[in-house]
Amino acid sequence: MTAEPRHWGRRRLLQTGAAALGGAGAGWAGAAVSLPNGSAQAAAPSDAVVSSPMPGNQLVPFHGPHQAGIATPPQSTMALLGLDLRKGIGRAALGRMMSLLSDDAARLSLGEPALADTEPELAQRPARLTVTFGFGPRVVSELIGSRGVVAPLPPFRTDRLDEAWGQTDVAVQICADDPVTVAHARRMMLKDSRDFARLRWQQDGYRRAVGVDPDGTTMRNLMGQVDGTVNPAEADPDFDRLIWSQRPGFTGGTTMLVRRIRILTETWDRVDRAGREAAVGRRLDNGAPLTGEQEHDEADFEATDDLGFPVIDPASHMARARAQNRHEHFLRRAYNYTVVDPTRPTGEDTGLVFTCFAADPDLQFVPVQQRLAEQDRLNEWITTIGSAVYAVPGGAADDEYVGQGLLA
Amino acid sequence: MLAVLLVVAVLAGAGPAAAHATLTGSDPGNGDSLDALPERVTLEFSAPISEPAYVIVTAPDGSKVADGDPAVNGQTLEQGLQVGADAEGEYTVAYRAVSEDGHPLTGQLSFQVGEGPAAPDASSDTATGSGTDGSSSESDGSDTTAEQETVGASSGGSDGSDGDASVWLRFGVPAALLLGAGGLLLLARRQRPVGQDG
Repeated sequence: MTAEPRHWGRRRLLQTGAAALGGAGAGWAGAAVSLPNGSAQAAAPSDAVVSSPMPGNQLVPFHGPHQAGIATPPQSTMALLGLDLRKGIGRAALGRMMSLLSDDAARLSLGEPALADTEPELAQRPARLTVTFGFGPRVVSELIGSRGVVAPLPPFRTDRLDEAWGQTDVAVQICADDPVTVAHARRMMLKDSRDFARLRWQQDGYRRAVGVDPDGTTMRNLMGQVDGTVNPAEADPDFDRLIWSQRPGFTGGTTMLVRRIRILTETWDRVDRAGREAAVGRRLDNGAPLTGEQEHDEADFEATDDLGFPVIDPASHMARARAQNRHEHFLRRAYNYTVVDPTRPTGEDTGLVFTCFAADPDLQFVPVQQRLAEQDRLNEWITTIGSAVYAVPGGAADDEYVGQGLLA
Repeated sequence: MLAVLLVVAVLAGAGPAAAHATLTGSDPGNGDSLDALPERVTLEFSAPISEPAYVIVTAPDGSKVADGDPAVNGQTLEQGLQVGADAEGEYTVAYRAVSEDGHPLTGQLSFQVGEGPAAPDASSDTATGSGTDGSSSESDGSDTTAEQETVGASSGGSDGSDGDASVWLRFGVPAALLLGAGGLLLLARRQRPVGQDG
């Protein structure tokens, strides 16, 4: 079956969340209407009711001052590729790879097939596709030649890191509201990077499918907890300072941390509801702090009970993670993971791909993680099994590729 | 054979629900009368507890006399008391601990030092301060029973059915295992060749 010619008519670019940027400036109208003969046709401008495009047709621009997929409201599906450059791949070759992958990402983000796309129809539903690229410390220091941009995280007492989920040269974060879109983008990235890099690991993650929860609902992790309530929002005055890098060559970029956290489900299964709420310091039903009623109520860490004990355990996860100063905030953008594992009694390995972004992780993230490693009730039931850090370049202008300013 | 039964009983008792710790005793005991303030208070639990645990010791005048953080050692919690704090009267010990299975529990007990309002029903060999069936006080109205509560979940949930399930796990499963073990042993007995001892 050949693809029907599409009548775009007048389009209006609709954003979900982030600031409107570049792109063609052209918009596109409404949902496609199905005609009796089965071909899809966009609603004619004159009778178009202004409405959101259906989820599969929604776009997030690729080009702009920042890479997409950071401040973008998290999509439902993620594939994070950890690539290691092949021997002999230097700065120039990396530049060529980034040029290819950026071009793929730009086209696919628009709902258009990549160059030499062998399944062009799979590109037709962009579903808010974003592709975000980062470079590991080795690439930054040896190929780009920058110093002081990104450093490996220090070891934490509670880490049980497996090299299988360790640091790679390049990370490619692919997110969309549809798993077929993600699969197609991933295949394109892997095809076009094959000559330059090999895949060391892939971390797949998921949240609620689009349309299942009301927009803006904080996700739940697979321990059942509302996860990510206190998170910098793009509208916050502090967002730019906390997230976007000021480092030379990386302005508009950030640092991405990827921590793979396994849930020890067998023992977690034995923890009752009271124990679960006490371990975090938040209610399970709506994520409110134990001293509050609503999810976004501020926690009162000074509140005590009848016997004089703090209502929120000072050793609870929330109390230990609490920011001690204006720096200790970072943007969390995590995804649940589940992997079949017949070697485990439960049959699966499940947890959280804890991805977060900060302009300066040493200042913002490390002190928090240090406190958690020293003491956190939740440590009884979680283990960090993977850790990696990436310098994320600023966004690519039209006709540029990501990292061009660093590699060209 | 008896050894096998004992092993089965121990294993059966180690089910998940049995890992909720409860206070099983203390030194000083709840309601004890002492000549002098001891150097420390020791609390014993039915199952291991996790660090950190919290203890607040209040002197008769309302001042706090715990010295430093309590030490957790398996099923035991030890809280040092300040030297020189030796006012006579009633001391209360409030505790909050977390079982290894995450379940938080809290309660308090009290004891007398020296003369001061007599603590009713103070038997120094009463080790347990747990539950509402501990030694009761009535005459002077002051509450010297160790009150113990499990800290409830703040939100609704399946606590009711969890409770039923935990009763089953705590009693039903061990009972079933014991009966099963007994049955197997009887079978084994029958299979044994004539002439061997049990």
